Amino acid sequence: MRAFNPLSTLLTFIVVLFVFLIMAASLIIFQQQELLQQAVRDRAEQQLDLMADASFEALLKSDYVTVRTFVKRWGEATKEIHQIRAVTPNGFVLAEYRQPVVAAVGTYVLAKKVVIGTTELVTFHMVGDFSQVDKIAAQLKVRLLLGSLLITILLGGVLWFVFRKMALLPLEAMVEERTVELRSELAEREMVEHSLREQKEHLGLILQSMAEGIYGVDLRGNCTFCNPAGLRILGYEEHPEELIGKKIHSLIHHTRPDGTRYPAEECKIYCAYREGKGFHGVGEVFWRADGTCFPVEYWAQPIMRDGVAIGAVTAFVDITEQRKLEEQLHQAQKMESIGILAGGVAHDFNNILTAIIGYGNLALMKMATDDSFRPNIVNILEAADRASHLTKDLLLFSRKRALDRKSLDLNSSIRKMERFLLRVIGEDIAFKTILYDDVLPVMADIHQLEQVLVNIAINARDAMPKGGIFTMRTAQITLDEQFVRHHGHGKPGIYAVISAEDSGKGMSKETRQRIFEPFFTTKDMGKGTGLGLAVVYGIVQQHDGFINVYSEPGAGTTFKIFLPLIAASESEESSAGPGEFPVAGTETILLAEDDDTLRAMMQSVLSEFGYTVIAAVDGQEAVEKFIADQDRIDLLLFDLVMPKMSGKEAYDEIVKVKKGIRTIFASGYSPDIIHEKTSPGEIVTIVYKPISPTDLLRKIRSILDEGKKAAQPT
Amino acid sequence: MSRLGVFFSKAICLFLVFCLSLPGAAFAQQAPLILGIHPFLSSTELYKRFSPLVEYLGKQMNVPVTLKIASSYDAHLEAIGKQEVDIAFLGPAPYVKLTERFGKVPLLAAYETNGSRTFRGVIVVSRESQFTAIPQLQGKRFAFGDPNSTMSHLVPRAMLLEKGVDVKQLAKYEFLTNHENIALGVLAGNFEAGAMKDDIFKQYEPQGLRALAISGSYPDHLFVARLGLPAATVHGLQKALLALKDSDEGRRLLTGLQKSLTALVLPRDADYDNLRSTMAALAKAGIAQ
Repeated sequence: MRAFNPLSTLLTFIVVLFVFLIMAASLIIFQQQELLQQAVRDRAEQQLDLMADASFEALLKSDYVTVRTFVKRWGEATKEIHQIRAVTPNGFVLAEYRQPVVAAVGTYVLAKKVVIGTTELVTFHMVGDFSQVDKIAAQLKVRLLLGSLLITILLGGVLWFVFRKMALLPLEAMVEERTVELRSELAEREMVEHSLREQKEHLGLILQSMAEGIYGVDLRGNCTFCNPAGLRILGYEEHPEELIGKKIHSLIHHTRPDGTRYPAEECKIYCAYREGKGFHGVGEVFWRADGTCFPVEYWAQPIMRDGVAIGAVTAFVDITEQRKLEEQLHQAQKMESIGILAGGVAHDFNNILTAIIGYGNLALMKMATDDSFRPNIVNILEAADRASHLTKDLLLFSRKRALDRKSLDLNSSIRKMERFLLRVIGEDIAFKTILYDDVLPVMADIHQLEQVLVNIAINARDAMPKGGIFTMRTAQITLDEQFVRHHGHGKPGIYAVISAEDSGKGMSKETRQRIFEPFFTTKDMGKGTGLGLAVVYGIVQQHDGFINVYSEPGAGTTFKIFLPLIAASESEESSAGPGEFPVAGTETILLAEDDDTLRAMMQSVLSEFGYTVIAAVDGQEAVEKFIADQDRIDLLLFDLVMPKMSGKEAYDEIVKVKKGIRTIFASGYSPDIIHEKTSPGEIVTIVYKPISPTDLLRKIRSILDEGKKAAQPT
Repeated sequence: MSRLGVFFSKAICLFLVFCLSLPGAAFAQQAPLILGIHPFLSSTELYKRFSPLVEYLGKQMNVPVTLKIASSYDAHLEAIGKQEVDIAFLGPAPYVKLTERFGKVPLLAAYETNGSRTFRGVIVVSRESQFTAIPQLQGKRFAFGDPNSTMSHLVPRAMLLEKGVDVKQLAKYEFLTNHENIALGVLAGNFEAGAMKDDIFKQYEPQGLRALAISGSYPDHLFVARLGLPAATVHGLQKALLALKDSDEGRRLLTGLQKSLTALVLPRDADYDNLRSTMAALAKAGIAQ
């Protein structure tokens, strides 16, 4: 829309006025010209009459020469007359005056008969022009044109002055004011538009960049848009036109998870705009362009305009991986629960076994060598030993056993185990090892690693009763985030991988899902404890690794054990030396054990070997007794888990009073908290239940002797 | 009278003597010569034609010359006879009448048209007219010029009489003053026939005139001087008029008088004898007394 321009409007008015005046002037000129021409004609007629009258006398006298002279003189005297002719009745031109006719000049013709009675003497013909009229008209035109121009200018000037004073100046003020307002509104609008544009760009960017698929539908169920992630997930990335504008329900949402048809009338996404409310769907399936489907979780929201739904927007995610992770989490939680249960049972059972073994050994020590009951005690101790192995396995599974992890080369370890493993699997099975070219340093407890390999080998052997091939490979692999996300465990990094492949009968999915559960076995009754792979699982987990199993019925089984790779610089420590016979002592030991039987047993053993024992039933009492006799006490022997105050908490309190006190924690668990919270300078040792009195005495003596050596001046 | 008054009187006298001694002063003092003309054409036309001649004669004679157009042929003859004009231009018939009434006068010069000293009279009809002979004009309208005109009345009247046609036998006859009116009257159809001198006939012949009858040759118009005009003046005038043919200016002046005029020649009175015979015959018939 064009802005109002008063100047141009006034100019237009003036032009119109001028044109009007010119037209009016033209009309006046035309009328005046007509009048003037009529006047000229009338005057000419009068002249003609006059000439006829004047000639009459001469004609009566037959003085033709006079008539001729008269006509000639008359013509010469009258400029506007072109021609005068006096024609006798017989057609003779008695007299004629003629002058050239100026082109483009209007002419008129007059005739006058001179008669006497009824006799015609002569007829005068006169041809005149309107040149004079044209001259006057031209002058009039110029005058009227100038007059019109003058009037227009004067009137325009007056109008401009009045218009400017009365209307334009106030209007300009109003316009100025309104312009300022409009500019302000415009700036505001531009700001809003800019903001909207930014929001649109942000929304576009969000739509472009988000991982979830988003698409819109109109009231006819046609897809109105779909973001790149949606196109990618649905497989329409190359040909979006096959989705956009099409009935989207029939393309991606036509079937329920159980395979039955999903009518569009029941579609929850369409219901979003039909019912004007949002819907959240989980577990339904969407179909890709290639004909495959995937489970989705979606959120459909109606698009409302003025309170009326005009479509819907659906955001959806492919929950395939989520489902897998949920299954893996469920499995992990199950294994964790079983581990906690097994660990708890093993812990309590260890206490019992510790007492049995302790008292058994005490009895055996006091019993003569030829005592007839001695074999009974020995049998009890052997049974207790087997039981302790069982609890040890359970603790291994539940990762509650302490590890003695050292840096070792996985390839070397396997190579050392090769002959032993060969014997384990038997002669019917071919055993191959394919080891990684380079060293694979890992931080591992060698004994537990050997346990893992043996248990895997036994499982392979049992899977191939009629022989087969058992292959053990090692490799180095770098796991990325995607692998971790896909498998649901582990963390990104460099790993050493042990692949143990058998060509056995394989296993079903159900078996595969439970293979690491303790006491789960497919073997015949009595042929296995069901703890072999559970122990493997527990050990690998405790080594910060993870294990996968790949198997199909009839296609063999492959276990892959991933252990974190460490730098190869750390040297392998030598194993501990053979055990020594326990040595007696005279020091004072503060014993804290909540289990009365165990506390009594330990107190008895320690007293037996010359130690002075101050016993406490829990941590709190231990602290109190230490404060009372702190100068006498050389060693603290605390159960780690106790009511009121744990062994660690009691230790922490005591350390505040006396730093550097020698301490042994005994526990059925391997609480990492001890390692995490004890500083490197503290002299703390942990023994794990069940521990034989011999081992306990040896450990106590060792620690006390180390303390004495440290105290001696060098 | 004081000495100053004597001085002024002498000065005025000397001035008057000086003025009178100038040529212009002498030209102004002499009595003008009057050239009289009979009204054979309209006065305007006559003034237009004769004014150059008047000027010419004035210069040649060193005497002012004025033009006097007579009101009629008779008045013109009266003015010559009574010596009211010094020079007169007149037709051959008036000259004959003049000599009969007042005696001979000094002849100055006569017209020579187209190299001929004589001219003819023509009786004309319109080109479409069926008339082929004069007798057919009986009962018709006839146009004459002036009753004293040689070729527009007297000679044609004689020709009509010779063919037995008297004006009484005409339906109507009128005197239209001059030759041109006769030509125009016949062309306009107001008259079946008319009479005029041959050069007027030739002028109007292309417009539709036809010659019905042509007269014999008669001496043409002439200039005469009054009786009593000094012989030197007569001689000077005669010399001036006869000399016109000798110069371009003079020839232009001649054609200005009449287109066919080629010279002015010296006339003799005897040249007009045949006209005298014709006029005597008319007089005998009671015409042109």
